[in-house]
Amino acid sequence: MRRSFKVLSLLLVILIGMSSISSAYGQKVIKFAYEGEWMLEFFKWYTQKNPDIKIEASPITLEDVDTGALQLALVGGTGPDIMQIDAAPGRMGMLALAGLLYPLDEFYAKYGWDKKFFPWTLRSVTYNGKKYGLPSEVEYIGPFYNKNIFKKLGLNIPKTYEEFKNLLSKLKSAGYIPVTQGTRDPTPRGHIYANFIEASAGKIRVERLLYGNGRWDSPEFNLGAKELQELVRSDLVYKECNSLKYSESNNLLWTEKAAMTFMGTWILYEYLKEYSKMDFGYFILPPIGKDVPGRFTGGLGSGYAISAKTKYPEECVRILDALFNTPEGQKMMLTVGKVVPPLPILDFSKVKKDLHPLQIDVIQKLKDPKGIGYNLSVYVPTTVKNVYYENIQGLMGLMISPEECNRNIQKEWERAKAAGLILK
Amino acid sequence: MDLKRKLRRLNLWAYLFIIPALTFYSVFTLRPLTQSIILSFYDWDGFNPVKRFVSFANYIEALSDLVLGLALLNNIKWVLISIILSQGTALLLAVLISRCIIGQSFFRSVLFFPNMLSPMIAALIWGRIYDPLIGFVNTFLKSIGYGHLARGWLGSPEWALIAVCIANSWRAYGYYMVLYLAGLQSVDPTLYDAAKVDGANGWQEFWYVTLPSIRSTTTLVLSLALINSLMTFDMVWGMTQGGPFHRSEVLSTLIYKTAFASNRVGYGCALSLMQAILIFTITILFIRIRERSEG
Repeated sequence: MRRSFKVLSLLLVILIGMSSISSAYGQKVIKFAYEGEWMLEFFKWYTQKNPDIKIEASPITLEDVDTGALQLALVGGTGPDIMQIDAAPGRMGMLALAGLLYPLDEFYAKYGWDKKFFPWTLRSVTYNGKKYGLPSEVEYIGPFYNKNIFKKLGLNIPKTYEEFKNLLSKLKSAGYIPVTQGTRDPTPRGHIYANFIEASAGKIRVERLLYGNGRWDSPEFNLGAKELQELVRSDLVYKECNSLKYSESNNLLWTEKAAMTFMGTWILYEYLKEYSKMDFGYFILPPIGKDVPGRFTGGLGSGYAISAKTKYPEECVRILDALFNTPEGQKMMLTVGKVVPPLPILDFSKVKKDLHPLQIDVIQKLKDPKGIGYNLSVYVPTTVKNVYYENIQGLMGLMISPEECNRNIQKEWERAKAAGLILK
Repeated sequence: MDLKRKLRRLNLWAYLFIIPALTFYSVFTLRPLTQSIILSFYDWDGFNPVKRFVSFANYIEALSDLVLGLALLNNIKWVLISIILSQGTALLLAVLISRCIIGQSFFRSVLFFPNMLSPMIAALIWGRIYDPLIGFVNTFLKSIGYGHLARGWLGSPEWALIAVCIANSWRAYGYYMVLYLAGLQSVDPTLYDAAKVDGANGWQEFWYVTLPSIRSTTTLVLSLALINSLMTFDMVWGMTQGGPFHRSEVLSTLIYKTAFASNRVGYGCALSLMQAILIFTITILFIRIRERSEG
């Protein structure tokens, strides 16, 4: 009996020893939830340079936030130490105000981030006067098209909305799906809708809605929704789009069955890795409203935030600083990840030759945020988001009128406003 | 001595053996249930330390929630369609397999296979089958000259619920089939001989011998199907997330969206309690009616 007790005790000691082997080597384990696969290369580089840090990487998607999985993990203390999430009131803001994120103001001062990042990008990571994240990338969301198809049919980039509609008709006559959009998934609904709202209402009215007393059911917003629905009705935007998932819709683009889709710069990574034979271009959806210049939507895509429950805030911050403020980190971001960081590029002349024209375009427009409209999906609070996505699906499935769609969103918006959920 | 006798009379050992199960039940069922009941009287987003007591406001809101009404209606449609499809298929296959002399276990295993797939995998497979451009359903319809019937099944307001329900029935029938097979094994073979002597044909044998003999199995299977249908979630979530525009929304997807996507945990708890009461009531009623008709 005594002997078996000894054997058992020995086994227990070995097990405990094995489990804490990282600590024995003085390694600190940081759990990092990342969006882009390219980050794995950065983690490898960073941990080689910092052997005291072990990064446990796991992928994260928008769904993890929108379905509450991340929130539950953070509350339960099993969530990541660092997470990449949309830097907007509906996502990062919600977590920040619930006390789930670590306030980073002291680190902003210590590392001089205030002066390094473009000031306009910091608005999206600031809630109730405190900074809860680092802006991670700037993105465009707009119409992306297959250049081969355009070349084959002799089509040019449209300058007016009428030209845009003619272009779609020509594509349809030639046997292509003019615009595909995977609206069986929620987020692509927001991508296309926000572009039409930007084209019909313009950035100033959208800003008035988000930060003032503007209304979803105003005539300018209804106009954008109406035009979008008309395109679906005429099958110029694929009428079965509600049956397609995001990936299925993209496949139609890659296989040249469809000519266009509304998506963002994040697609560069997938495109250059898997489908680089297809040459694609992008343009701004021409204005529908009379007094609107026409812009991409987008702005700041996501940000990095640190869990309020992390044991290693300083170490987490050092990882992020290495990503943004070293030439190696930035190079990986630009050339491997194909994303555009929200701060001046340290060795721009050296990396420029390796960049896609879209990246260069975004970098050049970075200092002028007026050139980018709002991706509405990330600005609506979580309580409104479901109603927002559902109603766009109803609009695109010809199940409700444009007015009804926007009225329903406005109703939920008012309720969120009354509950103090519309963040400034 | 007196105490020992008293303890024996109280069956102390029996209680001791119940304790582990009771502990698990209390921790994993009773505690969450009690918490849900309490939370249903609060306005809470799920992670803020502050909860606002709202009394019966969540329940009152539910009474005027149009989406809830739609989800309930969809659930009723789901129950009817899935019972007809999965039960019909399961019973038919069970009867056919039970009559096989060779290969009974082979057919049983093969036909049970869909039930072994994870709902998300099944949802993926059926998502491809229903693909508007390259899916099997539309390709088949076009190949036999019925291309005009081809559509985006999962995006269609009229068809989305039915399409998901068919996929779910395909995944579910195997389980019910095995239960029916077990029931069929208990049918006295002499009853079939007697029926044959009386000149009964195959259909009459099934109607007058098989069905009455497996009545208790049918009650069990139907109760299970009813409960599963009222609680259905995974296939709907995997295929349409309740869309398009709530046309395939069922109670469970609505509760999930409310509690975890819209972060209205209090309201979500109220809805889930209402769902639990509904399932409990319907199941009890169903079993009572069956018992009465059998009695």
